[in-house]
Amino acid sequence: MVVISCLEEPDCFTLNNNIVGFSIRDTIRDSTGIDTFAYFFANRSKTFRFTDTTSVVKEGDRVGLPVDFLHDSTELIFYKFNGKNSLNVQDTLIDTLVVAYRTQAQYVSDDCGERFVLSNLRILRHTFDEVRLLNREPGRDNNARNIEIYYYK
Amino acid sequence: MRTTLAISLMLLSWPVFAQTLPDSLKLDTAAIKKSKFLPTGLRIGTDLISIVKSQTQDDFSGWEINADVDLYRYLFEVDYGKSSRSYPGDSSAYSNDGNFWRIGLDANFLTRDEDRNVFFIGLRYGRARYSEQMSIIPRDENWGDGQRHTFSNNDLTAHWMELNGGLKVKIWEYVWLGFTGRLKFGLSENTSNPMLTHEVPGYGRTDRDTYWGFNYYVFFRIPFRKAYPILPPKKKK
Repeated sequence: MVVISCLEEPDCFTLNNNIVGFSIRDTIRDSTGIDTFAYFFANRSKTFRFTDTTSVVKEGDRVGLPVDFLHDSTELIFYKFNGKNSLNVQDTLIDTLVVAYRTQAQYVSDDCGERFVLSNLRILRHTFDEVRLLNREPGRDNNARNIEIYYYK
Repeated sequence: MRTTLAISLMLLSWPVFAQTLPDSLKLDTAAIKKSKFLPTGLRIGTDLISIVKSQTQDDFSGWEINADVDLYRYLFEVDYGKSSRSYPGDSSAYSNDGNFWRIGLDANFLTRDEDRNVFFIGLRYGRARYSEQMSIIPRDENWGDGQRHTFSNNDLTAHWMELNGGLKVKIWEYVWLGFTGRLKFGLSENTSNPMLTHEVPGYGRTDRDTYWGFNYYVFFRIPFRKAYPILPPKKKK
C-alpha cells in the first residue's frame, strides 16, 4: 500500500514550471569569448538578485531564470560586464526585459501542496538589440529554451 | 477484500455458463423475437465502496445510485452521484463539492442465462458539475510572499468517456451483487480560470490522461413482466 501511494504521488520538487530559458547570443564575440553576467528580477513590490555571485556565461550558453508565478509579468534585469567581474565598472551594459504569461494554480496533493502552471509566454518590452521568442511554455528546469537575446554592441 | 469478493462473484456466476435448455420447452419463436427488446425489469443499486469510504475516510463524502433496464442482450445504464472532498491544511488546503451522472449501454455476454446474470462490457458518457476552493501560502525561495492566497472555481462542468466491464450476479430472488471496472478517458474541463481543477467528482484527479475506477454494487431488481424464454442455438446444417 505504501509503495502504491508513493508511485501515485508526483515528485513534490520543481512542481512549478516558472523557469524561462534564455540563450545569450553575442555577435561581437566568437564562441570562445567570455562575458560575465548578473541577473536581477523585479516585480511590482520587490527587486532581488538571482545569483549570489556573478555568472560566467559564454556566447551561446543558456540560463534559466525563475519568474514570478504570483503575478502575470516579471521584469528581468541583465547586467553584462564585458569580461570584468564587478558591478562598478563603467562599461557595464544594463538591459531590461519584461515578460508576461498566464499563471494558474492547482492543488496537487496533501503532501506536495500546490503548483503553478505557466503558459502563453510573451515579451512585453525590452532594451536589448534584438530578442526572439522561441517557445511559449516555460519549463521546470534550466533546460527550457524560450527566449534568445542578442547583443550587437 | 476486493479481490476475494470479485473471485466469489465469478465463482457464483460460473454455473450459468453451463446451463442448457430443457428439451420439453415449446417455443413460439416469432413472438419471442418480437418481444425480446422490451425491458423485463428495472434494476436499482448503489455503490458500496462510496458508502464505506464516506464512513471511514475523513476527506471524502459521497454516494451514487445506479439503474439499468434490459433490452434483450443490452443494458441501458444511468448513474447519478454526489461527492465532496476536503484536504485541510495550514499552508495548503483544498475542497470540492459536486454531482455527476453517467449514461451508456452495456452488452451482456450471458445471453442464455435464465437467472439474468450479467457479464458485460460497455461505454459510458459522464458529466459533472462542481465547485472547488483552494487556500495556499506559496513556498518559494524567490517569489513566495508569505501571504495567504485563495482561489475558487464555481459551477464548473466537465465531461468524459468510460470503457466499462464487470459482473452482476443474482444472490437472492430480487437482490444482485456486482462490480464495475472503469477506464476513464477523454476528460474535457474548463482550463481558462486562474485555478486549475484538481479533482472532478465522478472522474477523479485531472493530472492523468486516463483514470481507473472500481465500484461494488448491490442491486434490487423490480420485474416488469415475465422474461422471454431463451431460444435454443441454431443448429448447423
